[in-house]
Amino acid sequence: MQIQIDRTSGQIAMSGEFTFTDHIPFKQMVTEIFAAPGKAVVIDLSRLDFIDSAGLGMLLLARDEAKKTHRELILRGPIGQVKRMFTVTKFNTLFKVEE
Amino acid sequence: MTTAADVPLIDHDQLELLQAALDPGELRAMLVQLPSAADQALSAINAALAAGDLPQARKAAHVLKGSASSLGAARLAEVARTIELELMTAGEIEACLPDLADIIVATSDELARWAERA
Amino acid sequence: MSPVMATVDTAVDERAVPEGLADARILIADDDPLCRRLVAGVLRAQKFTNIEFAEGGLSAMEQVRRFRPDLLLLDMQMPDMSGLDVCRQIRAQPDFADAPILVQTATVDRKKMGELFAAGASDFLSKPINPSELIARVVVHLERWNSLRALRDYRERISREVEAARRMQVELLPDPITLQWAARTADLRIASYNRPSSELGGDLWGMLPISNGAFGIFLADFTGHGINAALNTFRLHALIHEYKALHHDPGALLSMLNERLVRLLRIGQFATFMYVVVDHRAGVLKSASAGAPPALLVQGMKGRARLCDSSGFPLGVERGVRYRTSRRKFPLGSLLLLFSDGLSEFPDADGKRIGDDGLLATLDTCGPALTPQEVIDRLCAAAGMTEGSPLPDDTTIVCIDRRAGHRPNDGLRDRATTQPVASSSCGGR
Repeated sequence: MQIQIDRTSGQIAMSGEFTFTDHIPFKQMVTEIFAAPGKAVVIDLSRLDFIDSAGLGMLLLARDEAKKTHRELILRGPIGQVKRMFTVTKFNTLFKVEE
Repeated sequence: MTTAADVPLIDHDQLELLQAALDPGELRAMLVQLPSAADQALSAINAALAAGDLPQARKAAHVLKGSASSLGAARLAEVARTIELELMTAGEIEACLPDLADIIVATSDELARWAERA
Repeated sequence: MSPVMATVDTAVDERAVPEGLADARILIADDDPLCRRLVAGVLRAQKFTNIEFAEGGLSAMEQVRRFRPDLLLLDMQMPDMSGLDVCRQIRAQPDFADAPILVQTATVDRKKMGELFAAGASDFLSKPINPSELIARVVVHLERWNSLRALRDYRERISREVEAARRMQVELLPDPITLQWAARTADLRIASYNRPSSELGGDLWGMLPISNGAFGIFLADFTGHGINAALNTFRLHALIHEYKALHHDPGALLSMLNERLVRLLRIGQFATFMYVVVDHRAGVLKSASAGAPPALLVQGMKGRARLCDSSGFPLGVERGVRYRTSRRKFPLGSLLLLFSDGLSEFPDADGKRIGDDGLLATLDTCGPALTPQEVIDRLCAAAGMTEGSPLPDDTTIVCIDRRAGHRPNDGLRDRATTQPVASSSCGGR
């Protein structure tokens, strides 16, 4: 998985495959982005090809961090397998997901 | 080629290193033991030469070199090294033995004096 | 005392021997009694107490076996055996393959030094003996050896414990006899495949007998894998058996398990869960799912394989979720296949994943002549999974087959073919 972070706009773009092995960089990124001031945090998933259950678990961690810091978390543009995973786990109702 | 005479009788630096690292009584006992060990080496070399066993003579010299150098008997170690590694024939070694005997005596005296001072 | 001696003194004192090394077993092998005494004297002055001696190469070998030294100080030239040969022979003994051997040598010949290290020497000590060098090298090599052994002991202890945990986890799975009994009673066949990606996994499946031959099959998959996920499978197993009264009601069971797991699991941890009650008398399946991969279902002799909707919040994410029970027909001739995403998302040699649709297509090629075990094998093969291939994720597959009528020995043969696959891939059950 690759992560691009735009700190000024609170935008994160993820690409590739988001799995178990990305635990540490993702956690670091979450801590960092929510520590910086701002309003909404947007994670752009439109170039993410694959997510496993560990990846979904990490999104829950980000959601928890957003709640704690009173920030809005938006997941943008999931496609393919990622979109199917969101549907089957009903994560699309748990998060604010923008098409 | 260095000759034994060019080498100081005693390596004082080595003795000081030992003095710093060892129990004084233990060091004295070993210094006293060295001359008799050297005498034994001398007899062993003589016996080996008499038996025509040159390698055995060199081995005896090798052992003497080890303990003499470690206990600071520098010139004694040097003669032993010469016998072990440089002298080619039994005749050359035999010719060297009186010198070895003298150095054992001189070393013994000097170490005894050193041990008293220490 | 002269100034020179004072500095020498300090140099030795600074190298005070660390605690815990003083009782190390040290073997001094030297044919010269004076040298042995000198080396021992230096070591004893530094409080090393456990010292023994060997007068030659052969006696050194003997002492190594008897005294089992932590460190060997070896003279290079001894009359009966060269130091190099002693080194080689000691290294050939597994217990001493890595123990420190310090060779004492007067040589500075580069070729000879090379031979010395090639023979297995850990380090060398120059002659004449320099006491500070002797102590420093002895300490360094003893410490290195001690930490290496501590690390090995730790690794061995952990792998023993992981192995014990692995066996316990295997015991959570349905035992073959109960499974066979349930299959016979319900006049159908059951086959399974379960393989964790490492020793311990986050997948769990089980069979819950209900009544009149009806039984429930559940398949759970915790986030992640390894010890963390494995411990959660133990929790879940206990919870499932706590709610025996709900085993006939999938929706109610999932709702209850969710309430419990929400309180137990840390944020970011959850389980996908599929539970199906198989009632062969009524010819009905009752199921509920918590975000598990869809079940594959073939209904009746002429049915085509299809995916059953399995959407739902995974267990442990949100409080107060009500899971619905769906009912589906399961007449004679039907087949039900449950799997964890380790199968559908297994990346083959080209990095491609078969996905739910690929599994569906493969299942359509599996005629009724195939046993459920053969169906599983074919799906694994289609996913690119071979018995030896390492798994990135824990993988579980359960196949319930009503296609063939009951034949007396089928259950037995089924288990016999099921077990080798499951066991070889579980690492020798």
